[in-house]
Amino acid sequence: MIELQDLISPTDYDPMINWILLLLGIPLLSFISSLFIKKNAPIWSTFLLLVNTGIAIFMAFSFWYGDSVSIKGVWFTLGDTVMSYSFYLDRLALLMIALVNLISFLVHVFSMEYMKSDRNKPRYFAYLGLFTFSMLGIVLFHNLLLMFIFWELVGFTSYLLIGFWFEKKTASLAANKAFIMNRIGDAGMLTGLMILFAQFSTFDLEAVKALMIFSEIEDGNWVAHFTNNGQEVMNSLDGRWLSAAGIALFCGAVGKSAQFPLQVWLPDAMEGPTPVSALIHAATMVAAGVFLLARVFVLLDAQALEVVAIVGAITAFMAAIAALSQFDIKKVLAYSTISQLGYMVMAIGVGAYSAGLFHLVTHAFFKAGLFLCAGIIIHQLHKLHSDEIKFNEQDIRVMGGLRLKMPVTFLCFLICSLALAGLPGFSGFLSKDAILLNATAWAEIKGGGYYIVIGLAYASVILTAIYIFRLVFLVFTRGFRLESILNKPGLMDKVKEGNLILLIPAILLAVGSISIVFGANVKAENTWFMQFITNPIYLVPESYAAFSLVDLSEATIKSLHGWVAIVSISLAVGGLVISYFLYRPISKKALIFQDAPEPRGALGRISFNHWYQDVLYEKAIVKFIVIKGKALAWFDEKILDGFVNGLAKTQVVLAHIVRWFDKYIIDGFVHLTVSTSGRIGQATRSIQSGNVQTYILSAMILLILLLLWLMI
Amino acid sequence: MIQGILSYIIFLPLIAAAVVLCLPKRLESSYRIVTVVATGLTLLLTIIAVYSFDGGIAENINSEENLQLLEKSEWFSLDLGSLGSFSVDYFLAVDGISIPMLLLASIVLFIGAISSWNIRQKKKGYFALYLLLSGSVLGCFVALDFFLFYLFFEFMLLPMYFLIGIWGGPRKEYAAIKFFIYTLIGSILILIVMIGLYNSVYDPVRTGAEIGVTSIEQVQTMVQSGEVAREDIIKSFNMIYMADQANYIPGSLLSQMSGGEIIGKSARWIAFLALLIGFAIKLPSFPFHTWLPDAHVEAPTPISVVLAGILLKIGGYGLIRTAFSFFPDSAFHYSWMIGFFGVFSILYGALNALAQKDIKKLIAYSSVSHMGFVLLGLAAMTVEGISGAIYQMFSHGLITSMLFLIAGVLYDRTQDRLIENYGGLANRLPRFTIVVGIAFFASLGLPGFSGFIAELMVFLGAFKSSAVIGAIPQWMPVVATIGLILGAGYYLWTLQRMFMGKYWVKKAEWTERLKDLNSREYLMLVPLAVLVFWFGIFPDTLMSLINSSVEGFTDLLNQAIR
Amino acid sequence: MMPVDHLLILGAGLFVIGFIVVTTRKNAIAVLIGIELMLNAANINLVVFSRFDPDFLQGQVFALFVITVAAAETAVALAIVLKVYRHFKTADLDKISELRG
Repeated sequence: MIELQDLISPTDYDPMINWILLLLGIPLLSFISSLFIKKNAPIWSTFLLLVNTGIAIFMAFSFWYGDSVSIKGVWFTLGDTVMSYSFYLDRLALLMIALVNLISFLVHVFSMEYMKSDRNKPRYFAYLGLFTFSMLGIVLFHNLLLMFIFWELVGFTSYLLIGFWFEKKTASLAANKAFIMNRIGDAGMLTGLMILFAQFSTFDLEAVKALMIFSEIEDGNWVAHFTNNGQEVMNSLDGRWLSAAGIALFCGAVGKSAQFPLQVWLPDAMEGPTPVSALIHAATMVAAGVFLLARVFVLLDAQALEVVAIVGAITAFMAAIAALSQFDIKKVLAYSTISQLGYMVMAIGVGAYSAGLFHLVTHAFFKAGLFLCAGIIIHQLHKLHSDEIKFNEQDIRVMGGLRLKMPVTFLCFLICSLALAGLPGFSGFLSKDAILLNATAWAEIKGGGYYIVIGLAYASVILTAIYIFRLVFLVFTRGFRLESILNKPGLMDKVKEGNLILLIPAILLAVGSISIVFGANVKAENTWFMQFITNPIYLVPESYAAFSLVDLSEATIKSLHGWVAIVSISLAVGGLVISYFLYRPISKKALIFQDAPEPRGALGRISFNHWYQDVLYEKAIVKFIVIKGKALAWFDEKILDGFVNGLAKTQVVLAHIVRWFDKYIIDGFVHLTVSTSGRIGQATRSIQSGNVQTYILSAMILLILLLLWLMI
Repeated sequence: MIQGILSYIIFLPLIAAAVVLCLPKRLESSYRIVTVVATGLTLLLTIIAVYSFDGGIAENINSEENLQLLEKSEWFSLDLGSLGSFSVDYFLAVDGISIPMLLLASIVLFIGAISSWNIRQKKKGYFALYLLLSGSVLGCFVALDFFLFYLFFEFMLLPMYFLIGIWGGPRKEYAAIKFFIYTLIGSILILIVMIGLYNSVYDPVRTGAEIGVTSIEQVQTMVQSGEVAREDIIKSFNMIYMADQANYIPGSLLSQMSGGEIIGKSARWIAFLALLIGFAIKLPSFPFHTWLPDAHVEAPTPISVVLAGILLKIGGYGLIRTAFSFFPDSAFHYSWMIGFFGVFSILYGALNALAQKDIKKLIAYSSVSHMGFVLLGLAAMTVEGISGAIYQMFSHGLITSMLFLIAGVLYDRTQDRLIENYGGLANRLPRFTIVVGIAFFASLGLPGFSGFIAELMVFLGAFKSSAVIGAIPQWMPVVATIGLILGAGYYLWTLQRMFMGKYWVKKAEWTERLKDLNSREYLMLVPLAVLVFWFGIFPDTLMSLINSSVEGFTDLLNQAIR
Repeated sequence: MMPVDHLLILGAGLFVIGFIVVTTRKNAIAVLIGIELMLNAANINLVVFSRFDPDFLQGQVFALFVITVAAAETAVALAIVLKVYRHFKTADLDKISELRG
């Protein structure tokens, strides 16, 4: 019998806590101080982040080979339940803190230039600090409740940053949408927390995992056996709640990692400043969902994992389709992000834990790189704006030929694109290959309809290559279309390459997208990443366990390996070729692209409008809720309150009737009494003559009469 | 520690009210100073009381040993001959359930006093009534004699009625009367139960003195076995005795053993329902909430603050202190219904808030939604749920005070509260926007603010309930999470409509009147914001006070159910 | 020794005269004189009956009290009569009938 208190009791002092507090404290300091120092906020907060990145990388290197460290303490007590907190530093956490800090630092640097002319710079950098703080919180805490808290805080900072230019109505609406969509996911996650707490009386992930081992399925009930303070506890829930817990926790990831059906907020989130999109909506926050799934991976049962895999595949495919036809450069990247997140989620779902995380890391680099490159383009094009020149600098219809003027940007963009498409030699290939391999093995075991799921994943590979090279061709090749749109030849010469502050972060991220960083290998499992971050041991009670994970043998994987690599490379190359023929400089489509209308035809419309999901939500759900709210308000005011008022009115009417009765019946009787006694009074008043002598005389007579009566 | 500190806390505002009444009109400007000083001193005393409160002592919720800062003396007693004697105690004390409420009340009353600073008309009446209200509200939270409690409970109505009816908005008379009648109906139900309880509960200590037995347990067994003569039994209004089922006279209407019936239903069930409705009106819960939007919209800002910040909490506190304590078995019997009304209030209030055009009405409906969590937590009957309910009351008191002050800030400047008449205020009032943001996000339950902790506890408790005690089903908290989403919906929508976008107001002359917060407004809003943060990050500050009492309370419930 | 009967007859006569004066005269002063007569009649009776109390003579003592009180009363009554006269410009009792119902 396992004792709960042993699992969550506070640990002794560990010097590691200082590092952890420093890691969390510096971004928090950056948040608070940036609001006050105003003028030098950008350089100050960037400096702080540099320090933090240094610490994170130092920690990653020095503790990498050590055992994982866990530090626990008491946050507060609720009745006799101790709400503990715990930090946990394993390789995954070390990797994540380095990644988050590094990308955050690069984005800080980039933003110094990008946000130069914005008068709200201090606020911007403060928000970035708050974001980094909350993101590190998710990574460092190993307690579902505290993770949830920082999880929501990340959503909140995302809200602040999306709505940073709050004067734009679209920005504020996008911020709302992002927060509410995240909230829907969080509500689900909260349900997961409730289930786990009801079962295990703690949120500490290590404890939950340990207790999960000792829980069993008995007669369809999920029973947790353990002792708490020496007392034996047997918490029992219907077995379905085990699956529900997994799916509920996954809901959180669905919101944050923009999975179907909540993914609609991410494209709108592009209303925020571009560096923010790179940091939050490409590299870190959206990856938090995947990180969470990895953390709770061992608690998910077969059904939950299946849901995860299917949702991931659907998301990957839907978003890849949507990315094909967008005109906004950031929207293309946003849909691409959703699609790639779908891959990661699917990877977790099929049990490819380390492959999913591997893709998380590689994606963080190349997608942040793509966003920063897009940011450079947008920033430089923005400088063309003047009184007579007005255009949408994010619209790829106005771009073209930028390769000549921005060669470095082009190169970075190209490298990142190749990585995204998954071509050998670039990091994306390694991780994507690993995911596809595992997914294929999974489908092999499950068979039947599950091939559709990986079919979607493979289809997304070719689509990814098509949409990203469409972007490369349309943005960087042929001539500058803005010239002909505005009829101003020579405009091209005014476009300049971004300065070093903008370029260096992009270059670094592009370098990080080359596969050599992860080891000179074509096989994913030989990279240092896959070697060090291995699949954890699965803990769910056996009858609910996912057999694909239990049964997945080395042999299956080996036999599939070659095939999968060949198929995925050829699909990516195929996509590149298709894209080339469609959008190469002399193709028909590229020539008339400046006037390209919104796509027609069923498929085009579905793609351009992202499967009409937004419209559906707007028309069906939002409207429904607002109408329902109005209807209830009407009900409240007219019916419920009307009933109360009606009651009051009835009472008033009744009161009038009673008043009549009172006045004429009850009071009539009273009046009768009064008038009778009045008449008697009138009759007797004449005795009172007012003459004293009469009174004396009558008194005497009466006295005499009295005496006489007494004598007789 | 000061002897009789609770009496000082209650009577300080009452004395100050008398002082305000005696001050001549030419010293008119000093009324508000007296009020602020008196409520400030009350707050100080309360902090001393909280500081001297030991959260560790609480074995049994129904024993006087559990109480602290106890003051008990006989107030009056009438000999009713063969009916026994009618005796009322002046009995004040605090335990872990009342101390957070007392603290909350003192804080909110102090803030409300500062907020009353620029009341312009009929100052003497206003401040005297405000202080009167303060005294009775505070009394309500520390009185443990039912009679005394009821006295304070009723006494609040009078100043509240006038404060809304005289200093309120355009439909003040309607709102004041509606508030008064609603609450009065609730009070009557409570009164009936109070009389019933008096006839059923005896005082074991005094009865023991009468028959010459000192051990309370012995007295209780003697009475239960009918060894004590009817004339020797001394009845009691003591709420602590009422919470112990052994103190019910055998054969009396509300005794658990005798199972008295009214129109074929258990008398205890009916008594419980009467108390439930009485306090649910105050809480308010659907469908007894319609007085709230009107009263809030019409009341002046400080009164809205006090109304939402404290008076609603008396509903929840009353439920814990009376209905659940006296009739735990009936509470269990009706827990499904209570939980259902809790969930329904959460969703109903949130949906209604979504449709409101007036910002004060929006806040009022959000209160209905948030108080639904209190009902849900209580219905769960688990430690987490009840702690959550108490924490929610405390946190909602702080947050909603902030929200009403915010509405007041805007109303002070433009005399208009319609959401649609503003736009992009963040451009013109950046600091105000930050405060509004804090209040809104705190209210929608963002982690880091006290509201989150409270709602979390309620959810945990409610979900656990069916497995631990079997009170409410698991779908209730799961459905209630939709309330969180809707909460985010209406607050963010309001924030977006009023504060985001281009600056725009309906009337051009408002622009010059719309100045950012002044120092007095900071003085009210900043401490509240700090407290909301504090209790969101360090819940132990409050939990260490309430934990053991809540455990005692749930033990009581558990015992009664088994 | 005079017989008691004579003295009682004197007292009764005096009382009747006084009573007639009080009830018939219109002038308030005359009414006062009548009252004096009635009081003195009573005094005579008191003195007469004190003969049966030779040790303490309570009747006589009482008569002395009555005389004193009567003097005081007359003084007050005269003052009232003067006030009444000033107010109503008459001392005629038939005309002063404010108390008539």
